Amino acid sequence: MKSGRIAVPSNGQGGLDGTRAGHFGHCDVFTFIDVEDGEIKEVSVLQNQEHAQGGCMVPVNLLSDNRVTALIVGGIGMRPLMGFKQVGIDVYHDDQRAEIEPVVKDLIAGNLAEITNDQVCGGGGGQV
Amino acid sequence: MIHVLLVSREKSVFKELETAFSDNKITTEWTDTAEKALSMLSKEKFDLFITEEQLPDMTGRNLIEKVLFKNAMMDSVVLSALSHKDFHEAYEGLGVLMQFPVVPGKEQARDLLDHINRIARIAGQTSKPKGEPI
Repeated sequence: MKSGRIAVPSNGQGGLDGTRAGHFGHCDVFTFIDVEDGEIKEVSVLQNQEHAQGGCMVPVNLLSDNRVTALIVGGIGMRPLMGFKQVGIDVYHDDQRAEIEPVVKDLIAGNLAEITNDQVCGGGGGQV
Repeated sequence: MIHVLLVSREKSVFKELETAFSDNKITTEWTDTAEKALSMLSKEKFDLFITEEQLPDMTGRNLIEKVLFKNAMMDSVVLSALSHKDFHEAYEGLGVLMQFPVVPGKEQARDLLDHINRIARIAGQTSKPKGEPI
Protein backbone atom coordinates (compact mmCIF):
# COMPACT_ATOMS: atom_id res chain seq x y z
CA MET A 1 0.00 0.00 0.00
CA LYS A 2 1.58 3.23 -1.15
CA SER A 3 -0.79 5.80 0.28
CA GLY A 4 -4.13 6.13 1.99
CA ARG A 5 -5.70 5.94 5.42
CA ILE A 6 -5.81 2.61 7.25
CA ALA A 7 -8.39 2.05 10.00
CA VAL A 8 -7.93 -0.55 12.72
CA PRO A 9 -10.74 -1.30 15.20
CA SER A 10 -8.97 -0.92 18.53
CA ASN A 11 -9.34 -1.49 22.26
CA GLY A 12 -9.15 1.28 24.84
CA GLN A 13 -7.22 4.34 23.70
CA GLY A 14 -6.02 2.77 20.47
CA GLY A 15 -2.82 3.99 18.83
CA LEU A 16 -0.12 2.19 16.88
CA ASP A 17 1.14 0.39 19.99
CA GLY A 18 -2.38 -0.61 21.04
CA THR A 19 -4.36 -3.78 20.52
CA ARG A 20 -7.02 -4.68 18.00
CA ALA A 21 -10.68 -5.18 18.86
CA GLY A 22 -12.23 -8.48 17.79
CA HIS A 23 -15.53 -6.99 16.63
CA PHE A 24 -15.20 -3.83 14.60
CA GLY A 25 -18.74 -2.68 15.35
CA HIS A 26 -18.15 -2.87 19.11
CA CYS A 27 -14.61 -1.49 19.21
CA ASP A 28 -13.81 1.40 21.55
CA VAL A 29 -11.98 3.49 18.96
CA PHE A 30 -10.64 3.30 15.44
CA THR A 31 -6.92 3.88 15.05
CA PHE A 32 -6.20 5.72 11.81
CA ILE A 33 -2.82 5.37 10.15
CA ASP A 34 -2.09 7.78 7.32
CA VAL A 35 0.35 6.38 4.79
CA GLU A 36 2.29 8.34 2.18
CA ASP A 37 4.81 6.82 -0.19
CA GLY A 38 4.73 3.60 1.78
CA GLU A 39 5.60 5.34 5.07
CA ILE A 40 3.49 6.00 8.15
CA LYS A 41 3.00 9.77 8.31
CA GLU A 42 0.45 10.21 11.06
CA VAL A 43 -1.53 8.20 13.59
CA SER A 44 -4.83 9.41 15.00
CA VAL A 45 -7.79 7.96 16.84
CA LEU A 46 -11.54 8.28 16.32
CA GLN A 47 -14.14 7.31 18.90
CA ASN A 48 -16.52 4.62 17.69
CA GLN A 49 -20.25 5.14 17.89
CA GLU A 50 -22.82 3.13 19.80
CA HIS A 51 -23.71 -0.18 18.22
CA ALA A 52 -27.31 -1.23 17.61
CA GLN A 53 -28.69 -4.41 16.05
CA GLY A 54 -28.84 -3.89 12.31
CA GLY A 55 -26.85 -0.68 12.62
CA CYS A 56 -23.90 -2.11 10.70
CA MET A 57 -23.87 0.78 8.29
CA VAL A 58 -23.12 3.34 10.99
CA PRO A 59 -19.39 2.49 11.14
CA VAL A 60 -19.31 2.08 7.36
CA ASN A 61 -20.48 5.66 6.92
CA LEU A 62 -18.30 6.86 9.79
CA LEU A 63 -15.12 5.48 8.20
CA SER A 64 -16.13 6.57 4.72
CA ASP A 65 -16.74 10.12 5.96
CA ASN A 66 -13.30 10.06 7.54
CA ARG A 67 -11.59 9.21 4.23
CA VAL A 68 -10.55 5.70 5.22
CA THR A 69 -9.33 3.63 2.26
CA ALA A 70 -8.43 0.36 3.99
CA LEU A 71 -9.70 -1.49 7.04
CA ILE A 72 -8.06 -4.38 8.89
CA VAL A 73 -10.42 -6.76 10.67
CA GLY A 74 -10.25 -10.05 12.52
CA GLY A 75 -13.75 -10.89 11.37
CA ILE A 76 -16.68 -9.15 9.76
CA GLY A 77 -20.26 -9.90 8.78
CA MET A 78 -21.48 -9.99 5.22
CA ARG A 79 -23.50 -6.80 5.42
CA PRO A 80 -20.74 -4.51 6.68
CA LEU A 81 -18.27 -6.16 4.30
CA MET A 82 -20.54 -5.42 1.36
CA GLY A 83 -21.04 -1.91 2.74
CA PHE A 84 -17.32 -1.21 2.95
CA LYS A 85 -16.77 -2.56 -0.55
CA GLN A 86 -19.59 -0.45 -1.91
CA VAL A 87 -18.17 2.77 -0.44
CA GLY A 88 -14.70 1.91 -1.76
CA ILE A 89 -12.97 0.77 1.42
CA ASP A 90 -10.76 -2.31 0.98
CA VAL A 91 -11.09 -4.79 3.85
CA TYR A 92 -8.06 -6.82 4.93
CA HIS A 93 -8.02 -9.82 7.23
CA ASP A 94 -5.79 -11.02 10.05
CA ASP A 95 -7.27 -13.13 12.81
CA GLN A 96 -4.00 -14.16 14.44
CA ARG A 97 -2.31 -11.11 15.90
CA ALA A 98 -3.74 -8.82 18.57
CA GLU A 99 -1.22 -6.02 18.10
CA ILE A 100 -1.94 -3.16 15.72
CA GLU A 101 1.52 -2.25 14.50
CA PRO A 102 2.63 -5.54 12.90
CA VAL A 103 -0.55 -5.95 10.87
CA VAL A 104 -0.37 -2.34 9.70
CA LYS A 105 3.22 -2.83 8.60
CA ASP A 106 2.24 -6.02 6.80
CA LEU A 107 -0.54 -4.20 4.98
CA ILE A 108 1.80 -1.41 3.90
CA ALA A 109 4.30 -4.02 2.71
CA GLY A 110 1.62 -5.79 0.72
CA ASN A 111 1.66 -8.86 2.91
CA LEU A 112 -1.92 -8.82 4.14
CA ALA A 113 -4.72 -10.45 2.17
CA GLU A 114 -8.07 -8.87 1.41
CA ILE A 115 -10.92 -10.70 3.07
CA THR A 116 -13.01 -12.80 0.72
CA ASN A 117 -16.79 -13.14 0.70
CA ASP A 118 -16.57 -16.71 1.99
CA GLN A 119 -14.57 -15.58 5.03
CA VAL A 120 -17.40 -13.53 6.46
CA CYS A 121 -18.54 -14.40 9.92
CA GLY A 122 -21.41 -13.63 12.20
CA GLY A 123 -22.15 -10.77 14.54
CA GLY A 124 -19.69 -12.00 17.12
CA GLY A 125 -16.82 -11.30 14.79
CA GLY A 126 -13.53 -13.11 14.67
CA GLN A 127 -11.00 -13.13 17.41
CA VAL A 128 -7.69 -11.41 16.98
CA MET B 1 -42.03 9.11 5.15
CA ILE B 2 -40.90 5.48 5.24
CA HIS B 3 -41.63 3.17 2.34
CA VAL B 4 -41.54 -0.57 3.05
CA LEU B 5 -41.61 -3.61 0.78
CA LEU B 6 -43.44 -6.58 2.27
CA VAL B 7 -42.57 -10.03 0.93
CA SER B 8 -44.60 -13.11 1.84
CA ARG B 9 -46.43 -16.03 0.29
CA GLU B 10 -49.75 -14.78 1.64
CA LYS B 11 -50.54 -11.09 1.89
CA SER B 12 -52.74 -11.70 4.90
CA VAL B 13 -49.79 -12.17 7.29
CA PHE B 14 -49.14 -8.46 6.98
CA LYS B 15 -52.73 -7.29 7.47
CA GLU B 16 -52.32 -6.01 11.03
CA LEU B 17 -48.88 -4.60 10.38
CA GLU B 18 -50.05 -2.69 7.31
CA THR B 19 -52.84 -1.11 9.34
CA ALA B 20 -50.40 -0.10 12.05
CA PHE B 21 -47.95 1.22 9.47
CA SER B 22 -50.69 3.21 7.80
CA ASP B 23 -51.57 4.81 11.15
CA ASN B 24 -47.93 5.95 11.35
CA LYS B 25 -47.80 7.24 7.78
CA ILE B 26 -45.59 4.36 6.64
CA THR B 27 -46.42 3.29 3.11
CA THR B 28 -46.12 -0.30 1.93
CA GLU B 29 -46.11 -2.42 -1.18
CA TRP B 30 -46.43 -6.19 -1.19
CA THR B 31 -45.13 -8.98 -3.37
CA ASP B 32 -45.05 -12.75 -3.08
CA THR B 33 -41.71 -13.90 -4.49
CA ALA B 34 -38.07 -13.05 -3.96
CA GLU B 35 -37.50 -12.46 -7.66
CA LYS B 36 -40.33 -9.93 -7.81
CA ALA B 37 -38.97 -8.32 -4.65
CA LEU B 38 -35.51 -8.00 -6.19
CA SER B 39 -37.02 -6.43 -9.28
CA MET B 40 -39.06 -3.94 -7.23
CA LEU B 41 -36.08 -3.05 -5.04
CA SER B 42 -34.02 -2.37 -8.16
CA LYS B 43 -36.59 -0.03 -9.65
CA GLU B 44 -38.18 1.75 -6.71
CA LYS B 45 -36.95 3.53 -3.63
CA PHE B 46 -37.70 1.56 -0.47
CA ASP B 47 -36.32 2.24 3.00
CA LEU B 48 -36.46 -1.40 4.06
CA PHE B 49 -38.05 -4.72 3.27
CA ILE B 50 -39.72 -7.30 5.49
CA THR B 51 -39.62 -10.92 4.42
CA GLU B 52 -40.80 -14.31 5.50
CA GLU B 53 -38.14 -16.94 6.16
CA GLN B 54 -39.38 -19.12 3.31
CA LEU B 55 -40.55 -17.71 0.00
CA PRO B 56 -41.69 -19.75 -3.01
CA ASP B 57 -38.45 -19.26 -4.94
CA MET B 58 -35.78 -18.91 -2.23
CA THR B 59 -35.31 -18.40 1.47
CA GLY B 60 -35.58 -15.02 3.09
CA ARG B 61 -31.92 -15.32 3.98
CA ASN B 62 -30.99 -15.80 0.33
CA LEU B 63 -33.07 -12.78 -0.60
CA ILE B 64 -31.28 -10.65 1.99
CA GLU B 65 -27.88 -11.80 0.72
CA LYS B 66 -28.81 -10.97 -2.87
CA VAL B 67 -29.97 -7.51 -1.84
CA LEU B 68 -26.83 -6.84 0.20
CA PHE B 69 -24.57 -7.73 -2.71
CA LYS B 70 -26.16 -4.87 -4.60
CA ASN B 71 -26.96 -2.40 -1.82
CA ALA B 72 -25.70 -3.03 1.70
CA MET B 73 -27.51 0.10 2.89
CA MET B 74 -30.89 -1.61 2.48
CA ASP B 75 -32.36 -2.63 5.83
CA SER B 76 -34.29 -5.84 6.35
CA VAL B 77 -36.64 -7.43 8.89
CA VAL B 78 -37.48 -11.14 9.01
CA LEU B 79 -40.69 -12.86 10.10
CA SER B 80 -39.52 -15.86 12.06
CA ALA B 81 -40.66 -18.28 14.75
CA LEU B 82 -37.08 -19.13 15.69
CA SER B 83 -35.88 -18.57 19.24
CA HIS B 84 -33.79 -15.46 19.75
CA LYS B 85 -30.64 -17.59 19.95
CA ASP B 86 -31.42 -19.62 16.84
CA PHE B 87 -32.39 -16.51 14.92
CA HIS B 88 -29.09 -14.89 15.81
CA GLU B 89 -27.25 -17.99 14.64
CA ALA B 90 -29.18 -18.15 11.39
CA TYR B 91 -28.95 -14.49 10.41
CA GLU B 92 -25.86 -13.08 12.12
CA GLY B 93 -23.66 -11.01 9.91
CA LEU B 94 -26.55 -9.99 7.67
CA GLY B 95 -27.36 -6.93 9.76
CA VAL B 96 -31.05 -7.73 10.06
CA LEU B 97 -32.77 -4.87 11.88
CA MET B 98 -35.28 -6.97 13.79
CA GLN B 99 -36.96 -10.33 14.09
CA PHE B 100 -40.74 -10.15 13.87
CA PRO B 101 -43.21 -12.90 14.76
CA VAL B 102 -44.68 -14.74 11.78
CA VAL B 103 -47.79 -12.56 11.99
CA PRO B 104 -46.62 -9.12 13.09
CA GLY B 105 -48.91 -6.40 14.41
CA LYS B 106 -49.15 -3.03 16.06
CA GLU B 107 -46.47 -3.71 18.69
CA GLN B 108 -43.91 -4.63 16.05
CA ALA B 109 -44.68 -1.51 14.03
CA ARG B 110 -43.99 0.62 17.09
CA ASP B 111 -40.81 -1.31 17.94
CA LEU B 112 -39.54 -0.94 14.40
CA LEU B 113 -40.07 2.81 14.40
CA ASP B 114 -38.30 3.10 17.76
CA HIS B 115 -35.38 1.05 16.46
CA ILE B 116 -35.05 3.02 13.23
CA ASN B 117 -35.09 6.26 15.21
CA ARG B 118 -32.44 4.92 17.57
CA ILE B 119 -30.10 4.01 14.71
CA ALA B 120 -30.72 7.39 13.10
CA ARG B 121 -29.75 9.08 16.37
CA ILE B 122 -26.55 7.02 16.57
CA ALA B 123 -25.68 7.77 12.98
CA GLY B 124 -26.17 11.47 13.65
CA GLN B 125 -24.29 13.61 11.21
CA THR B 126 -22.61 10.69 9.52
CA SER B 127 -25.80 9.14 8.17
CA LYS B 128 -26.14 9.09 4.44
CA PRO B 129 -29.19 8.83 2.24
CA LYS B 130 -30.40 5.27 1.97
CA GLY B 131 -33.07 3.32 0.26
CA GLU B 132 -31.92 4.08 -3.25
CA PRO B 133 -32.87 1.43 -5.78
CA ILE B 134 -30.47 -1.51 -5.72
